[in-house]
Amino acid sequence: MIVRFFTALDHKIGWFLNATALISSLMLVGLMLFLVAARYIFGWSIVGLLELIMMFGMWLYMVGSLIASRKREHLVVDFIQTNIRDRQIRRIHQGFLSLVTLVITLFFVYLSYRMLKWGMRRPQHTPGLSLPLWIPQSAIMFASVGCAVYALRDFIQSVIGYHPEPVVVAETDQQETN
Amino acid sequence: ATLKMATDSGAQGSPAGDTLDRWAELIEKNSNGDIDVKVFYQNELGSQNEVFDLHVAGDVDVMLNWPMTSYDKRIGVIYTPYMTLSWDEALKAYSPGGWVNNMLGGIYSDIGLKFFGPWPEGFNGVATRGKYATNIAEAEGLKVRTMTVFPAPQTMQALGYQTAAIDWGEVYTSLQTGVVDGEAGNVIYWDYEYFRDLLDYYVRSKHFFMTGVLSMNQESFDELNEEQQKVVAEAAKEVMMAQFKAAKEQDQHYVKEAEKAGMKYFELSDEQIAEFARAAREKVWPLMDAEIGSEIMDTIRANATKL
Amino acid sequence: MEGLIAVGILLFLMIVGIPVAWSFAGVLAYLAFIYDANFNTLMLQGYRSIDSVILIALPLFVLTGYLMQSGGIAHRLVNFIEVLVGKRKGGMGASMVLASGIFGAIAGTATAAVASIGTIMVGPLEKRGYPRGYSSALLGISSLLGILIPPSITMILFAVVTRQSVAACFAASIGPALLLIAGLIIANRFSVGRLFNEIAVGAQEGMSEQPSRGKAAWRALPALSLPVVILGGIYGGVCTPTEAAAIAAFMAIVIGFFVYKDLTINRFGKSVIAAAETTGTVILILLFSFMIGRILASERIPQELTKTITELVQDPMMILIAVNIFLIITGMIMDDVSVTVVVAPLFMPLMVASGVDPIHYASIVACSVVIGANSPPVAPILYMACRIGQVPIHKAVMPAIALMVCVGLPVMAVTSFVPELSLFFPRLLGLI
Ligand code: NA
Ligand code: NA
Repeated sequence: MIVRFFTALDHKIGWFLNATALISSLMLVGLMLFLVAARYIFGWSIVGLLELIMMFGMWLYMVGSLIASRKREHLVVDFIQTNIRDRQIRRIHQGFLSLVTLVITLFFVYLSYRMLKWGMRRPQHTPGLSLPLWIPQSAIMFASVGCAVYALRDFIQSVIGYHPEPVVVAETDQQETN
Repeated sequence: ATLKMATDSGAQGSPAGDTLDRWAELIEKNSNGDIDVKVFYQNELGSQNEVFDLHVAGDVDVMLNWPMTSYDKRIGVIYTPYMTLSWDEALKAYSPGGWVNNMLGGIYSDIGLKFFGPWPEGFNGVATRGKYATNIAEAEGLKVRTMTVFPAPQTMQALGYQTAAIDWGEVYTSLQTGVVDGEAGNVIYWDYEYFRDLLDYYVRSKHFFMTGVLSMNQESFDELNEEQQKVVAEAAKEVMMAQFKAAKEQDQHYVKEAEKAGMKYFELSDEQIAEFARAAREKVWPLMDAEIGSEIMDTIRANATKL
Repeated sequence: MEGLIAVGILLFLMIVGIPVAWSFAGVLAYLAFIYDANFNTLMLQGYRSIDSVILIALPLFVLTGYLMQSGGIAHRLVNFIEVLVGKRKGGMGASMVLASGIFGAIAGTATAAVASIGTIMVGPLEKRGYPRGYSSALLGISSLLGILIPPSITMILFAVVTRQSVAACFAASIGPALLLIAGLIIANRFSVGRLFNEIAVGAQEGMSEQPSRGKAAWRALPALSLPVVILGGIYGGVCTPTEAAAIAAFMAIVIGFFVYKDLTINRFGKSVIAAAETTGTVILILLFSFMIGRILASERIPQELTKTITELVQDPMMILIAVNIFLIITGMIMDDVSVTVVVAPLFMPLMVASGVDPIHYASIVACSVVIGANSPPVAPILYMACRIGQVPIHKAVMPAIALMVCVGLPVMAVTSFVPELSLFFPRLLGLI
């Protein structure tokens, strides 16, 4: 029952992350093309367009890193875990890795929180469109919290032994599009 | 005490770099070694924005900075186009007690910085290659880089140019690859020092009177004892006064150097300046009313050079 | 001492299997505490560093790479090259090298080339008598042409971190890339008949009939127009590298959907998300590396390092050799992004002090990445090539080492000691 709930939740979140990545990417390509076209075809210089592009870029970066956390596809040096044959040792190793990752991602959350808190005290805006900097910065906050939650997920799974396969798989797995 | 001193623009050996060296030396000497100063030149601590962030947060205690408008739009007041048109007026306005100086002091204190004084460079211009413009009509089709601060792009557009706001660190590549035909943010020193191989002309359009600012993080300042505070402030005043004396000559020196290096230099007549100034005041000043407040703009209107 | 502890922590975390990004974050935590960093601005500096217009080229070129696979661009390119040179002695191997080179002029990474060219070519190569282990090793090193030939993610990262011109860094590694192509083709030709026997064309069964040259060229034409637009745009003064990246991505979409019609909405969506994910993994490493770099810079560590080394060794030649060896060793135990954004910039002041042009150094770093990405134990590209080539790693390791020793290292040595090789193209294009 609980497993089913979390599986459903995971699908919803995965859908949301993918949609955000898709929209950010398309906006990035589209707006950048518009920038070039505006300059070369119409001779316009659009003040602040790059600022908008950068905002989408930052959300793309952070959602992308969160997707990688969700799928456990962050770049990893995996020659120890591929050489552990014993299942019990492998599980302990996974538990250790996810615990250390959890602690480090909590540090990431703290750093992002301090950036936002400072940003509230000394707010900043972009020069052209006056967009507040907390918009792109909150992407980093979002990613840090998300990565910590996924590290927690990995830790719990390795403790209860839910995930019998190696939790961390090599980066090369992501080439499944073809 | 140890103070971190930095500038966002100016390598070691540049006029700005020399000013830091001198400032640091005065502080160390006059405090009898009580204050130790660590100097960081341009880019050593990151980009312009980053170093200014560090200054506002107190990681960089003392700084020679070119004002960033991201924390407070009103700082953009120093980029009001055609506010003053002659050296005498400009220096008077920026000197202690002058109207621009007073205004800046207030704004800096609102973002937690102690304002010691300006570090004037001179009037800026447009450096280009291939062709140049002495009036609005000639500027058509010329694409120039502007600073990424309000209202730099708007001003150049009012003067008839196409613009691309580009961070200082990316200007060289943009010029090289032809993304822009010129650079429109600076006094001639910077265009001579960094782009003389790429650019042929420098037209002194005088749209901004360029100045750096000598400042200190207020919390860092409060942590010093009264005597130390005096040493830092007096030293700032000394390098500021030296720059007031040296600025115009420095600028002339680099005009000559640029000409020696093969750049063509143009001063504009009063009528030509007036054409640019009228256009910029008509198109940009109303925008500034909205951005930095009519109160400040009314002060500017009351004090600005009459055309 | 603090520096050694930091390196120790990094190596421990990485080797024990903590993802690289979090390993760097762990080191950052250590440095932030011992140097008493200001937590108000630490992440703000990281944010500022990755909030770069130049860096936006990265997700766009990564996306282009994925779209080349899913949109059928890679397939047409490979067909074209195969028809052109496939029938000569050693021609199939040479085809793989050349296809990787042309692929590299569109994509900015090696992974895209490994996946698509490997998928298309390793099978047919086996039918022609090439052992899978050998093909996979050749694929691994050829695919790295993608980072030597512009556009290149490695060069974008290096340029952003060290504040060099992207266009100039791009141009610097063209010379070494040509040398690597020549070296690989010669080495392959030499291997044929010695390491294995090539089966003549037509003798093997089951190979699909090849189209005529003209037909293959016509089909490849839209794909071949991509590098022209990208490089012509950048060096012809039409657009910045970032804008060129957006144009390339757009063209790959149009070609995939409307010219080759291999792209479906579903495949397109998958490619975009895979690209976002790859970008995300690189960006996190970059984010934490930048913050580490900022702390090191404000403690003046790179300058201290330069001072220490120059006191020990005076001869610039010896320094260059030492840096080369260091880059190769770190390349063996670290991933390419870490080497490019953390290790290489540390030596930048030292290189400049020894009279090495920063653009030349960029090219040396790129060569070290080519070798590092294929040298075990940490050899992500080689491992990926093995996975795509469906061969156990141990069968590819020996050929990979042979190619590295006979081709990779000599190319890096020539690049290091003949600055002209790297500086010729930037000079020709007026970039330095
Ligand atoms: Na490439
Ligand atoms: Na390696």
